[in-house]
Amino acid sequence: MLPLAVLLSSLPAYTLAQEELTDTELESLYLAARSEHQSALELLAFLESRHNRALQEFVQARDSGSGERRNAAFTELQTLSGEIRSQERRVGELEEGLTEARRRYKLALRASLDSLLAARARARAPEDSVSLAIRFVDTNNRYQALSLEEDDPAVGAERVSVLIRDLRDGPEDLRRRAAQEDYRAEQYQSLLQEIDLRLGELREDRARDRTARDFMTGLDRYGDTRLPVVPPGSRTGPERTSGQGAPGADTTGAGGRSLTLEERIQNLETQRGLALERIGEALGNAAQYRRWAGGSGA
Amino acid sequence: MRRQCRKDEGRVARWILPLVAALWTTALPEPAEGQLKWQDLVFTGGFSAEGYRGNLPAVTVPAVDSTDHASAVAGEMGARGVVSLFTRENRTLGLEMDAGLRQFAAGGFEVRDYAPREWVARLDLAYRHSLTRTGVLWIEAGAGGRKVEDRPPMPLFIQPGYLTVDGRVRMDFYPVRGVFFDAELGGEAGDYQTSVLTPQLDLLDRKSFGGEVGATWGASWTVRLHTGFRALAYKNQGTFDPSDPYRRDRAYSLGATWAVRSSVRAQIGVEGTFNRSNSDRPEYNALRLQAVVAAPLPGGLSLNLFGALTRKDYLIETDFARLVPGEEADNASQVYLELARPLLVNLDGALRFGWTRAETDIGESYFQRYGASFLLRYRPRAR
Repeated sequence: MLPLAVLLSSLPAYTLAQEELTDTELESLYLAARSEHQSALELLAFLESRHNRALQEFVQARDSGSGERRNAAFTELQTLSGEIRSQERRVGELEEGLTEARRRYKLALRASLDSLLAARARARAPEDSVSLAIRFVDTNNRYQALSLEEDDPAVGAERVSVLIRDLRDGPEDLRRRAAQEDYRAEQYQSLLQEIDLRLGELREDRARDRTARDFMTGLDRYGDTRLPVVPPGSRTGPERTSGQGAPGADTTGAGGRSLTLEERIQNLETQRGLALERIGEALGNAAQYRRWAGGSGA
Repeated sequence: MRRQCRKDEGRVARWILPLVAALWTTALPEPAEGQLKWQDLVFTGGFSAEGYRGNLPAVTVPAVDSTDHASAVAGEMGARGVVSLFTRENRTLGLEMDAGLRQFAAGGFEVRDYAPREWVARLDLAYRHSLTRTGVLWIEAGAGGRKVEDRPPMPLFIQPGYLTVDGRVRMDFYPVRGVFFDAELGGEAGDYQTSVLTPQLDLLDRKSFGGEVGATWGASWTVRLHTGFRALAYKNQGTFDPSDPYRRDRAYSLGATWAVRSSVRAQIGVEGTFNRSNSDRPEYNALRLQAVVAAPLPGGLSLNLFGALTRKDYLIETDFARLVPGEEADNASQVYLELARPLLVNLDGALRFGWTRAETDIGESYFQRYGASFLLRYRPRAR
């Protein structure tokens, strides 16, 4: 997939903007963008891991009193910091590209759905109708999967900048860095609120499902709704439609392999944890920069 | 005969209850590698106060009492778990387990007081396979059983003990012109638990096989039309016809269901059944209305309502009692209403009221049950 991504990214922008691309081509573009974005994220994680090790080395070198070792570690830290900043920018750009590729692909799918519906209305032969129905369902499944992917808020690629004190930084530089960390914390706080809002809605939905299910299973458990006057074993609860309520059922009711209600909740809970982690890191960094700048750290 | 009765009596307890217990035990540890995954786990406990009036002629209870009024208090405990056994791109396998124990202390009878105890358990396995071009295929199998000790006379009607196994294959087709079609084939076998005093419960043993097709449309609300056929064989009920000695029924049904799923969940359905048999006695036409509603109320309360109304008309008039509890009879109404509220993050409290009225075709005979229950539902895995 990566070579395709490289090929597509090397195409002149105006070519993609002006050409009418097919659904398949737009899907390829989107998948390539997603793959490239994921690769960039993994590289960023790798650089951060290396940076953390370099930071430990720098602290140990400083404590050991060896000037040569400290300088070597500092140089390594500087190099990695630059690479991380560069990679963060790249991840940000790729994220924008991914969002745009997804938007275009969704628009194309939406248009395809409309044209398939229109074609279905005009179809005379039954076999045409069935064929169009199948295409409609496939297209609709892809559309729903994309919608789910972008609907739930998620912690993006942007990472909290790693804590580092450049010996050339003066108090003003450090206070500016602290302010940047405060701003990042606020951004994550805003994302956290959005996640909490969505989580609240989904949990309410799940609670309603469970309450209704508790009620009916409570009645059915001892056969209280099975009167002396109806066939035993006859179902008294609400009818099960499209597998709804069956163990392992897809509670979103969407076709294909879309996320279940439970999976969406778990995913958002993970994102919430990440957001909290980022907030803590950013606030911690801000406090440390202020301490270094000679402030109170508060 | 007695040996057969004793053999049947322990069947439910010997197989179903230990099976559920074993599955609970093996499934309870934390799932590994994200394959086994609890979707829900809830423990229930509570108590009820109930009153019973009327005295249906009932040939399947072990004792007869002349009272028209009885009352009971009952305590119950149970557990239900839903486990996802595996989830793949297009396939899922899930298991649902449910088990409970209810203990009554019943009074108001002429002969003696009773302390009936019910043990119930049920297992359901469901496999889902999303097919690329056709739709979603469901294969489901289940087994359930109940055991009743010290079963009282009417009017305190408690379902007798039985063992059932059932299975079905269902296909939910992808939409055609916005309409979702579905089709289902299924079968069930029921074996009733007899005792020395109630060998007649064998009359209710049955096997059934049938199918149903339906069409659903709508988005914010849906309407489903369905029709079905069910063949039932009662191997222990005679027809008094030597050329066709055992009862066989054929039930045809036609119905519609309207459903909405928003902050309010509601499902209202109507179904007509035409039951024909090689025996004159159980031939009838029936109409059933049913409603299930779940709605949020202020103060964190939620309201759940179940209501059903059944009307039956037999084709052949008879002077004999046709009623075998658990089989078929005349008109019936049921209403259950529950108010539930979260008490803690993982603990819900519920207050439930219930009323039932069932009427036979024999001289205004009827049975009424009314009661109130307080229930606690604990979800240990809820956060």
